[in-house]
Amino acid sequence: MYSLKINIIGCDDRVLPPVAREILHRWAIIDVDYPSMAAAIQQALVTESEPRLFVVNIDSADAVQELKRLSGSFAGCPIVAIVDTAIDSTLVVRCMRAGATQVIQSPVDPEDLGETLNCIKAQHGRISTLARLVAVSGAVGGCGGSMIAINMTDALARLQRAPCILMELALRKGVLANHLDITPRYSIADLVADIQRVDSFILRGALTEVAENFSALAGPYQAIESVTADTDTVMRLVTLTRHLASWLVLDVPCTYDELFFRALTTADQIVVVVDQTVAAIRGAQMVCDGIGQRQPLIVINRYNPKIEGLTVDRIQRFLPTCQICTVEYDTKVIDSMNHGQALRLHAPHSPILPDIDHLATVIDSPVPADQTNRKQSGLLDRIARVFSLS
Amino acid sequence: MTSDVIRVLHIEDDRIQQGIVSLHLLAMKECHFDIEHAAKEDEAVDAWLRGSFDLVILDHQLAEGNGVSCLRRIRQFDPVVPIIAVSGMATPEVAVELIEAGADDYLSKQNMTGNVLSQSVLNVMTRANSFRNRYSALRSTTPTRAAT
Repeated sequence: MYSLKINIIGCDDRVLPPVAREILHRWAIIDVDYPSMAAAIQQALVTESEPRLFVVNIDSADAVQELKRLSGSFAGCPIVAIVDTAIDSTLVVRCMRAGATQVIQSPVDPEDLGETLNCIKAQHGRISTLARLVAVSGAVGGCGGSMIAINMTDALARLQRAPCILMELALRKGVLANHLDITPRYSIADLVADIQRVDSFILRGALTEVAENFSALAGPYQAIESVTADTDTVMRLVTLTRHLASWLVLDVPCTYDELFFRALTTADQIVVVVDQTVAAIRGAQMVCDGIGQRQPLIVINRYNPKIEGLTVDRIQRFLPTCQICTVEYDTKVIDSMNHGQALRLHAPHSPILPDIDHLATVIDSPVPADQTNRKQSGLLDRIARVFSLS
Repeated sequence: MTSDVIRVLHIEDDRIQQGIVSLHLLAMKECHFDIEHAAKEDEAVDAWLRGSFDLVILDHQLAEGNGVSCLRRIRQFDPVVPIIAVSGMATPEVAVELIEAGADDYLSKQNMTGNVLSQSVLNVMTRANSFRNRYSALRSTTPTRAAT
């Protein structure tokens, strides 16, 4: 079985039959047949999350430019370009420069295509190009969700030794640029406003390096008015960003709107930050109900074990299906944010750094298998009962 | 926040506290309130069943009846309506009771300034409205049972 799904792009009736035959002969899956590269970039970025192989028919000089966009948009995904050298003999070299992994001549020789597919399988068969997606949000404002997101990303970058991106999912005045003391060239607002032009080159240019393996993509930090963008557009940006790192941490403001729930339900791991207050714990219960069968990791920030009644064990009873971690209070956290630094850089001996490292370790653990089968018995069920829906 | 009138059920047996909360609410520029008072648990539940309220502000200790029990009874009718509990003695034990009963926020009377109350009202109202929309969306995507 060929391990990569295959997307065929722009192959007409002359090119398609031998290509499809050879692909099917190798038990590969032809996932989608796109009419053009523009359509592939538009649709696949939104709908697809797995690595894949593109087989592209290049029949003009213009198609080479499109190929460049495609390779930029799907960094790490191999591309086979089928080139008609009778049109232009320089197309082979130009396709290579535009990012093609392999070039084969048209009309397609099945044996040559077979060897090409084998070669790509050997080189790319085990790639996993998409970042693990972690969504971090406070259950209510002021719980310290952004602080946890920043320091957890910093811990992941250090412990995993892999590229990590922190993305602030704010369409109105964000806080990340201030908390990290960075002045990004582009914010999320700039990117979603011109999403059609955004590819991995532009996106890489928008990232600001914070530390080794730790980059940030901040929300609008100068704009006063909020940016209007539909949820699909913002999530498309998230998908595109996932191609650029091993971990993508979303700092999600607790707006409880469509984007909030889409971000949480799309994520591989959900982290909900609470403090020891009625409002935060109630908020966490509602978020748990609102995201269906997914159960978030609950982080009790500024945890004080001396507050009787609201200890971890007691809070666990209010959120019985969630795993709970704690991060204790340290005044240096506020200092670090005022200085625009991650806590580890500002206060390397802070007593809460082990808590944050533990959190990063828990995030890296596989999700318990029974999580998706847990019976929902929360607010949604009660609402259903009140409205006689069940 | 909507500019429509927000119907508030204020459950409080102390007339001075009733006046203070009313003053704070009426001073809020973001919303307009129509406040109905109830002093006892049963009176509050009756008022709830008669009227249609967008927000409940509830004293934890009532002279007749019990604030937590009142909260539980209202929650049975509406799991989402925002309920802010206030108490003269804000302790973690009371907080636990209120979380179990389904309170959205908990304020101490001593620290309840106009800003604190208005921020709490805006937060719980925004959250409740968002979650009502969310639950409606989830309900509309749930397949309905075929008629038998």
